[in-house]
Amino acid sequence: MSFSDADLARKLEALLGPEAVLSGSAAGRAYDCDSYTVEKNNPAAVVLPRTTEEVAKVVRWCYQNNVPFTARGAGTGLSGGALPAMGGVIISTKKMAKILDIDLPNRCLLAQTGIANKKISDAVKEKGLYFAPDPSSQSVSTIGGNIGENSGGPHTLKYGVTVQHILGITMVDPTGEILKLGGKIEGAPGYDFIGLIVGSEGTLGIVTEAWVKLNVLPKTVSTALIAYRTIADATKTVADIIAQGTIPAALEMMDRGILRAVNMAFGFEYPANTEAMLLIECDGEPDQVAREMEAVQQVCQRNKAIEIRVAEDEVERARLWVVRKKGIGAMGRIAPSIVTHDGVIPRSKLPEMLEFVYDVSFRYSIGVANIFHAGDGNLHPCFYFNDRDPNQVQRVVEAGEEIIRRCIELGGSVSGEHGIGVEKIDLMPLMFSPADLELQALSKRIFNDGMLCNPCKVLPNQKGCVEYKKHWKGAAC
Amino acid sequence: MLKTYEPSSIEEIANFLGAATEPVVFDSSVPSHPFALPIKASCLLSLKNYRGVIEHDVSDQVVVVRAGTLLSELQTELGKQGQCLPFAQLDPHQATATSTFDTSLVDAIAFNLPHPLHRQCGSWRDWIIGVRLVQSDGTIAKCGSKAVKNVAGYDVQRLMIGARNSLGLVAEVTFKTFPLKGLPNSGVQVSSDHLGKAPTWIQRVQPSDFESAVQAGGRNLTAFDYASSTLWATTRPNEGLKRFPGDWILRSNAETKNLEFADPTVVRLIKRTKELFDPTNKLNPGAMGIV
Ligand SMILES: Cc1cc2nc3c(=O)[nH]c(=O)nc-3n(C[C@H](O)[C@H](O)[C@H](O)COP(=O)(O)OP(=O)(O)OC[C@H]3O[C@@H](n4cnc5c(N)ncnc54)[C@H](O)[C@@H]3O)c2cc1C
Repeated sequence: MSFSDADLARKLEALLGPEAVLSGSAAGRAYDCDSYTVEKNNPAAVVLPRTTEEVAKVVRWCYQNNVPFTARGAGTGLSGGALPAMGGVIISTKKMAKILDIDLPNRCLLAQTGIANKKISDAVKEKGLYFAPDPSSQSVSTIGGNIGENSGGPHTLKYGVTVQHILGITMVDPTGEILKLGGKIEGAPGYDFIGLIVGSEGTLGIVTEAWVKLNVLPKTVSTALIAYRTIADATKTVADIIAQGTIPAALEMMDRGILRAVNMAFGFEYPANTEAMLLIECDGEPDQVAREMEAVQQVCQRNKAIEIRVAEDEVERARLWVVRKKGIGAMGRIAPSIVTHDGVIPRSKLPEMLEFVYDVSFRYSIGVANIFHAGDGNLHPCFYFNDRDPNQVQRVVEAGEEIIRRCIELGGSVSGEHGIGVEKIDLMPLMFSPADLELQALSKRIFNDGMLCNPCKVLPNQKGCVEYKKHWKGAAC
Repeated sequence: MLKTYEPSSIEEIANFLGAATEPVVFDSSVPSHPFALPIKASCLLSLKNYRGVIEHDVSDQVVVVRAGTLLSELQTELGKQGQCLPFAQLDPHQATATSTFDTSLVDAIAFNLPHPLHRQCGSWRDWIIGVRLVQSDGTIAKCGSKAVKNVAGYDVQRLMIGARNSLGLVAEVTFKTFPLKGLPNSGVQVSSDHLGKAPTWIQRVQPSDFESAVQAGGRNLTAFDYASSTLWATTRPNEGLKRFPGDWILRSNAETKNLEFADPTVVRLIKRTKELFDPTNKLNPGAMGIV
């Protein structure tokens, strides 16, 4: 890159106007990382385009001038996906939050990708529709970020992850060309490019608009919160529910560490001696929901539940969800720093895996609490520590790696929803052989043959990243 | 005359493909899938000896299976444990009318045809969580995992679904299975005019065009599915049903018109992808209709 930061900002201002460019040290700091704060690097400038064409202008300019660029939505990513690894330009979708078309008869909606996930559901709620992917960050995280990470949420178990809900996209490719892929009708013949792009962490281009599917809001929703005296009883319940053929809309688990935190932060009450709780939700037609809930409760009782609270109305339902939705927030209140991991294991391995997590926490003397998508086997061990203490940070990193290694040994994955970013890039070879990684690199090259579009993410050993890595690795301490 | 190879291990498949210098077509049970484009090749690689379940983890609802296995064989195996892949359990007339005939998994995945429970239960791209692929140079690589939820790395397995084995040979597949108990009924309607006749035309339209499409299809329809706005019909090679905005079609008796791409962006990307994955153009050459 042959520009000084100030030079670069001026060039971008000339392209999009001064109001669309942020630069200087304050802007740099505001955009130097996402919600994975362990690693940081300043961008040279931040641009805030309003349209696909403006994005294309910026990308084309970056391409012609060999300047790296990285897409950013709300920056709630948890693996450093929006970290400007080589500096360069952050392309923020903040000003691209419009709904462009709502097609009610065909149950789909076209939006710019900077729109917050929940805004889509809000816009069509009155019509009895909603956008199903529901990451816990949905009030702020953007559709573009959801597409980048192929995000899931508590209701993934029944409704699938983001890729199942994206029908068509407009993307600016890494050379600045505008591509339109897919449309409003799914299942079309041809290579499934959208399936590749969703989940590619902004490394194949910048998605500027998307046609998303709208689901019909379920007629009935029934939610239960179930307390157990042992972790094993709770995990056994999870396996039994799925095995007997019920797929609840949500099947989430919280352990005592989380319950205590939610109690301290929000006064949430639970039976004494509770080691774990399950939150189970069934939705659909009234009689089907009644049947499913009945079956679920029987399984819970067989597995020695000590309390089953079924919400009587919407107010109570919201109250039961508090423990799941505010769990991480509550942890944040009681500890200076938290790091949440994201390994996946086959469901049946939950009991031994949780035991392993507690053992790791004990061995590294780092506190841990668990709140996770039990139905999918997607763990979120949440370590709490003080990030001012480099020794603690080091232990947290090592503890996390041990957990991820075990997930892979058990036939699982290094990430269920938070992505690889820079955080887990060195763990990729544990899960994939060199040939596997080359196959992935090959598919990346369909769209991105260079090193400018969100470099140094997902695939390890990219040329030129080692040197930059020194800048950002462990920048928090 | 096609030379036929019937390897019985993934290593044999890999050795064969790596060494092949001539174009290879893939097929397992039949000489040519009805919806395929005509392909010129001198060797046929059949997976009919590469069959069977490798691993079925009942409680995790995950099955790993060799891709030469027939769909019906897999369903029988899974059924013993109360599980399945979520195809409707159709009567033979319905199966014929919707072209959901029994086939090897490798063919089913390669063609990714619509099926009557698509709307309710998704399709191959939702059920496949991992793949072992033999690449054009004979390299064996895997993508995905055995975890039902996984965002590690690029989802190359999705690119293989519907790719007609033009980018690599899908040799082993990991599926997430479904409980048989919860399987919904299909709402597909079969026309009585064509009982026993297979469709030559598959079309999917927007829901708002579906009524008109059914009207327009009239007596040509063999079946239609309201939930997924899909129509199946018999047509003559040089005729077709009415087209609607944004719709797509597949054909089985129209030779080079069986599969067509009009959008230049898509054509360019298909070409580029093919060049990257199969630089010597030996895997099912011309399978996507783009040269
Ligand atoms: C409190 C909290 C709860 C969370 N809960 C969940 C959860 O339940 N499930 C879950 O899956 N995740 C969860 N996350 C993680 C995060 O919210 C998701 O990954 C989310 O989708 C990121 O959206 P974002 O707009 O913040 O994206 P960013 O963090 O800004 O970016 C994420 C990635 O997507 C890329 N990207 C962004 N916009 C685009 C675009 N327009 N085109 C191409 N690429 C783009 C970026 O380059 C980056 O690689 C949570 C995070 C927090 C902080």
